[in-house]
Amino acid sequence: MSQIFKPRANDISRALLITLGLLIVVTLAAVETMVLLPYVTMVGMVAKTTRAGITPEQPLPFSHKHHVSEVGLDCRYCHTSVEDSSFAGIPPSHTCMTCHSQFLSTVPMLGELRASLTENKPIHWKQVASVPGYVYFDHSIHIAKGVGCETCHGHIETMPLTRQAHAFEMEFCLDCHRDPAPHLRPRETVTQMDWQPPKNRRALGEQLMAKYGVKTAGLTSCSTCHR
Amino acid sequence: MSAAPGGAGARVAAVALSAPRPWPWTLAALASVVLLCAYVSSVLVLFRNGIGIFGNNIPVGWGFPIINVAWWIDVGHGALLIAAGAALAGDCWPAVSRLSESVALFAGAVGGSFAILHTGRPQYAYFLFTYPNPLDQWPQWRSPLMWDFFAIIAFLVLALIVWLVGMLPDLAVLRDRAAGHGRQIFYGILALGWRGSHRQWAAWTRARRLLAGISVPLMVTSTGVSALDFAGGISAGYHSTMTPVDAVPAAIASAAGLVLAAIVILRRTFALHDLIPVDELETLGRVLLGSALAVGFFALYEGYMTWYGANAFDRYRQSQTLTGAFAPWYWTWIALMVALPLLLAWQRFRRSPWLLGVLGMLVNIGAWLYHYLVIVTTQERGFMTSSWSGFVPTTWDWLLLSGSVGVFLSLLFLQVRLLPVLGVYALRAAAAPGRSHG
Amino acid sequence: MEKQRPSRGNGKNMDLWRGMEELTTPAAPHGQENEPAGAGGPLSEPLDRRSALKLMGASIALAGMTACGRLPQESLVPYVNRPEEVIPGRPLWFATTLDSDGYGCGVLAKSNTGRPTFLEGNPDHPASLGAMDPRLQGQVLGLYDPDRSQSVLAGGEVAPWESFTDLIRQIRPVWEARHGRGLALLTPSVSSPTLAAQIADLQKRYAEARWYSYDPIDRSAAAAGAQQVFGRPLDTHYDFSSARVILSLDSDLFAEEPGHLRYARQLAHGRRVTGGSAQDMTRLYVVESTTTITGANADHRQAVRASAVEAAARGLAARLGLSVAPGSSTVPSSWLDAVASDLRRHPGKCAVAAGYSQPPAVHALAQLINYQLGAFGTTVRHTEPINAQGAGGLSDLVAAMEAGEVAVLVMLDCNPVYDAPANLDFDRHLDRVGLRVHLGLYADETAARSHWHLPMAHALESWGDARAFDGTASLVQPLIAPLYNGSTPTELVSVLAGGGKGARGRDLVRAQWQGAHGAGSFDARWRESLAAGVVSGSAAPLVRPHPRTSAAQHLSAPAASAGGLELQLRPDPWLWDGRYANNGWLQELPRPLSKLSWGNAALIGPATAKSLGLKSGDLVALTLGDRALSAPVWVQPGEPRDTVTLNLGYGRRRAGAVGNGIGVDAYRLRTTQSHWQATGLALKREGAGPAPISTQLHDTMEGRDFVRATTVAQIRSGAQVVPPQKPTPSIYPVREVEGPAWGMVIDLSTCIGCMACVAACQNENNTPVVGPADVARSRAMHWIRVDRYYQGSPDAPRTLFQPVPCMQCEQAPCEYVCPVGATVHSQDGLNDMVYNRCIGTRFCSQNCPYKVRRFNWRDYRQAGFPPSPEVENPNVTVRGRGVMEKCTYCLQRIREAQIRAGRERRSLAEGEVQTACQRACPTRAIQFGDLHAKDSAVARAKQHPLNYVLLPELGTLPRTSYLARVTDPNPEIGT
Repeated sequence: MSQIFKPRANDISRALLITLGLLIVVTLAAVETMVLLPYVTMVGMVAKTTRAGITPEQPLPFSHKHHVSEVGLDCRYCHTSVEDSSFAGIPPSHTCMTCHSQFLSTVPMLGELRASLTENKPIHWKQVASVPGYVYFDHSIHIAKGVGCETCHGHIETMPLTRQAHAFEMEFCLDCHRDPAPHLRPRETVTQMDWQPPKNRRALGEQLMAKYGVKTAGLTSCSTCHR
Repeated sequence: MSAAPGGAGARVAAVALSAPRPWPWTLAALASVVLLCAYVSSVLVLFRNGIGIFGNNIPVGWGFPIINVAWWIDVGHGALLIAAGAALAGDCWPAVSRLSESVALFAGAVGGSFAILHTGRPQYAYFLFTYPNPLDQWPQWRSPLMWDFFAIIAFLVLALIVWLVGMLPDLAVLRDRAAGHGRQIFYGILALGWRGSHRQWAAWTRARRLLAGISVPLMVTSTGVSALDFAGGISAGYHSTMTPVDAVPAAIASAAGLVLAAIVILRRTFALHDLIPVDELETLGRVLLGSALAVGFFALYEGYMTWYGANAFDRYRQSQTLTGAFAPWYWTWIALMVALPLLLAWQRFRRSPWLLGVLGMLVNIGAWLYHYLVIVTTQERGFMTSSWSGFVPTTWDWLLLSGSVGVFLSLLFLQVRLLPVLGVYALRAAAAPGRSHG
Repeated sequence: MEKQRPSRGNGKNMDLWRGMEELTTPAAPHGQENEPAGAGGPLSEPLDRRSALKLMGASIALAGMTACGRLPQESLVPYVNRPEEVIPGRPLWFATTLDSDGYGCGVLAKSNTGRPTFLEGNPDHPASLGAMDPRLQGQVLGLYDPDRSQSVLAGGEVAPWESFTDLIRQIRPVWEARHGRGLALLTPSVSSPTLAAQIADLQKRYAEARWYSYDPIDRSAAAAGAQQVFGRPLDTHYDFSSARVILSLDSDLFAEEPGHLRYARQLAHGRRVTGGSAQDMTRLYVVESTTTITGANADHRQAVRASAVEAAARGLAARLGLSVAPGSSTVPSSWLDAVASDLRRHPGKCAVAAGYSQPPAVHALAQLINYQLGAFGTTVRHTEPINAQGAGGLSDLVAAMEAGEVAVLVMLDCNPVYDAPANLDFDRHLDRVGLRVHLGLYADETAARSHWHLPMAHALESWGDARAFDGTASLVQPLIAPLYNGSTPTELVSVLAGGGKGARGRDLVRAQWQGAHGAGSFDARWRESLAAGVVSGSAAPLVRPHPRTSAAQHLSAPAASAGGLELQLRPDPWLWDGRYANNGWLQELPRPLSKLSWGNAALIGPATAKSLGLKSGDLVALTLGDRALSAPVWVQPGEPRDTVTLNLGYGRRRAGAVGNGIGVDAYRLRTTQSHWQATGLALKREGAGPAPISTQLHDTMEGRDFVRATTVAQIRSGAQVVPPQKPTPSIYPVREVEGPAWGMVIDLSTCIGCMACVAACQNENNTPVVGPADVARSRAMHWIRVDRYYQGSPDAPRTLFQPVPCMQCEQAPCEYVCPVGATVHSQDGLNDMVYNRCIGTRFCSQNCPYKVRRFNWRDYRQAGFPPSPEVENPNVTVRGRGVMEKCTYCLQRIREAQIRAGRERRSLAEGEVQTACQRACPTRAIQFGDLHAKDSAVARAKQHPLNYVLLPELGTLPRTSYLARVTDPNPEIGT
């Protein structure tokens, strides 16, 4: 009977088989790398970008760079509740105006700020650093145990417009919760952006753990962060 | 009579290519497609409304979906076991081999789908995979469900391979007999350039044997592992070391039943009486009889162990099952899966195709009831009497159950319509000298 | 697809601050889709185009394709000027007062950035002592009820407040001229000194104005009884702290009497088994006409029909040497003999309490008996009436209306159109009133028949004051500005009196107390009262009345109780007179004994059911005279023979989306003559209806030993209640935990089954309301349940309660079966449930022998019961569809305490962490704490000889254990 396939068919089929194999490998690799990328997170079957490195549009062009490194404000001047609440606190308009009633009291850039005080309507900031709703992060305890602001929020003093420094994926938290020593600093230096760790940071960290009573035992229990 | 291989090939090819289809056949095909649609739509509704649409509750957290998983997967396991047995026994049962391989694959696929569908958040089912992830999390290896998950995957992969490899030579036959270039290409590609050379036959036979060899132990364990979902549990009625063992004969029985039913119908519709000799049916009938006997034995054994174990909760459940609220379920199961198959002890019945067919279906209903007993009634009467409750299936439960049958049948019809329904190679073996024909 | 819904205010308190303007409009989102969940079942849920698209999206996603998007962008809204007491992210607590059945009860309210989210009892308040009951707990949900009346309605049309005040301004000259003739005021009896004073002023101002008062749950019989005995109405309350024997004559002391929380605490004090030694207990005898938790906790209970209680009282009085005409009592005389001698053995240390549903004669007898036993001044105390009453009752008002004497009727915080006795035909008579004004939380049945409906401010939005059962006054302070521009009764009365809407509640209350305290140092006193939640030393002075000699003889001769069926009406344990009908928590919360949820039923005893050939679920027509009502039957063990008990408060027509049409309206059988009970009830079976919804379908323990019970005598005789358990071997290693190990012990001797723990848990842990359809499918969500078992004869059963939270097993069967590790053990021995990891295989629940796990079968936030995100606890995740959940030992409280301690560089103090159920429990039956702290109460309780765990043979090593129930029956009475 007549030839259905030309001899070439064999080569084609072989080629197909090889490409198929390659395809599988490549896709698997792609998926793996994707879910491991710092700025991708999975929500169900859908990949979503974490906000790492993203700078949301803000109602006012507030610059941490200016206020921290140039003016030299301490974090706690504005984020007042960071030491005694889960929430670090966003300064009320009134706080801003303590200075800006004198400085730049007329520039159009701050119109919204003045309006908020006069018309008593709050400013709607976009949240920059955030963790998912089922994560219960508490600022006060981390400050109390000597975790620097910079450890999570990055070098805020270099950011003209604020962005999220890290992807707050679980492994980011676990790195520290499993082995806090290399991440701790003396409590009085938590807000220092230019703090230089000593050579043997682990040694210091272990002293601090003893001093601040940091016990690793319960730190990795699910219910430490998830309720 | 003796069917010349070529002739046989022609006949088999004809079923897929040209044979006229009587109207009942077309009707049945349509019906199964309708059920298929029911399945798809109710799955969509399921995703929209969540598993609240099922009748499940606390304490009966597992209902129809899990029964369907267990039932279909067991059929699949059993079918692959039978197929392996046939292959090891010399590949001389054309219908049994081909149909049990198909049933294994299709039943497995249907059952597998429910394993995902029954979860509360199917979109997160990928948590079951072991993949490196930013959560630094792994599956929980102590969970029987985890083991079952891998068992099912292994089974599905194996079933697929066995099914494909088994069909190679016959696909070649179809390729050669197909009219029209398109079909020739279609079957040609599937046949992977099978030329029937002596070397290919030798390799192929080795492959068959090898796969069969792997299948037997794997299917036995895999069936057991699926049953461990219950044996690993703490509830009275789950927690029995024998559960994994007695699952095997049950699986074989229901599979044999389903395959028998399929063969009988085929044989009749396409007048394949000469290609599917009655001995072949009888052999499968023997398998059914044997496994049914085993099921009966394990039923007695379970009863004895419960009494002997003297666990108050177990005994209470037993009393409820034998004489109490759940007696109807239990005794129907015994009747369908143990008593009726005993008829096959008589050759007269063993050689009566229609009886075998009907019996095959009844046995499967029995198998479903068995899973209902294990999964639902045990939970209705748990440890805390204050939590005792009932289970009322909803429309969606029933729709998905019948829908799953629809998916299975549609696949089977497709197989018959497009692919070889009998192993021509096996016909050759059957036609080989030294084998009697009925 | 369904991703874990982040809760509104999911622990990020910055999300919480939504600003007042948003708080004032929570109704819009869930004001609509309000038909009860699954009423038509999922089949009835239409599939529109957009959801169809979503579906396809879902299926594609399941096919493994990945779309891309960003995590939701939340926004942060700081204050403009931050009040200095507010620390963002930290809750504030305020002491205030809520209405508890007509009297004040002090509570502590938790406020999260301006939103009241949780209520706790105020330990300094005499009526609470730190305890709660479900009716109080539910009021915080009521605050956010989107069905609350949201604006002034003039003839059904929305109108501004001013239009009403203007109207009054125009009318007032007429009142001035005619001394208020034709002006009538209808209120419940008033416990607020301020309001009472204002009404008095109003009456001074308009001499002809009339004040009527009406309480659906009417306690006037007690006053009438006192009148008979002392010649003047006196309020009676009790002090059981020193009591050794208590007899209740149809009085539900621990659930329905004013001061019930205090009474329960005092009883528990006398019944708690401390240490191995078994001292005598406060013995409780109960003669009652329906099943109550008081009867369930009695050492000896007699169930008789309501009309037969008086005979028992007379029999007892006669035995105690009072010369009264004895009635023919159905209570065995040997029983009465025993009780009488037991009472006589404890002069001054015993008390006899009569229930409000009993006629004055019974109250009179109780007073006489108490006097006879020298209980006055010790266990039984009298004060002048605490609550102010109008000159007339509802009947008088109706008479006046009929006579056309009422031109203007102002109805404050009451709903007579719904709850007036049927024979008064209040609704019809309203037509003769020219101007009908209604102030209420809801635009209810009465509002619909009024010309003007005015929205009332919720207690948590109001300034005010209230007096407790013993007269102790406490202030009501708002935690939030009125959501719907509501007004308080005091403010409204001041409008009537010419104050204008200007007069603010705060000023009115201050003025009142300025008068009381005198100006000097008033501010200090005011602040102190606000902070403490009680006005110190404001309890009513006790009076030592003496019964008139021959009071006994003057008692009317006992009415010969007619035969046949007797109808008995009782307030619903949770909905009370119907005012809480629109509260999802309370509708769904199982009733303590029947475990009924979402509806009432005609309760009849097994014997009665048998004789009438009825079973639960049958539909019967109840006919009383010319009034009929058809209701489902519920066979309730322990109900007296030939009695049908119906709970009031159901069958509301305009309660709101949740409460409308739930249950049957028992008021339709109520008349002024037969206020609480009526004989000559005809009952006819109409067929089988849908069975009433109950959360517990099996009543006995089938010989399993969940609740272990014994008696003081048995303990003395050295009988072993709890056989020593030898540890069951396990293949899993035993966890050696350092640091705290949390554990709980529940004392079954003092648990009275009041359900306060369940309600508090629901409030604390954002537990959803699942609705009648799903409760009927055994899908109720409560994290702690109170199991109720019966022992012995169904007609006089022994009732056993057992609260069952998660056992927090050390070898937890749920943990090892979860394929994804969504439920795992924490360092401190908690059995963590990680919602965001759960894929919903439900294997954990299948493998939980205690069945304490709960599953989100649907997205219950969308199920049609106003979810009120405002009331949710920001520190507890709101669970999404398809995930498992369960009791966490109030994890959030543990972690917050630990963080606080860590911040302050100290270790946790004993008792610093208290679970919601523990705090709410009136009898302190729940102990919780660190098992490793050897001195902790819970560690000591674990050493108690009566300590045992559920299903020990399974080797799960539960952290929750129980103390066996001990009772002290009277040996003279054969059990």
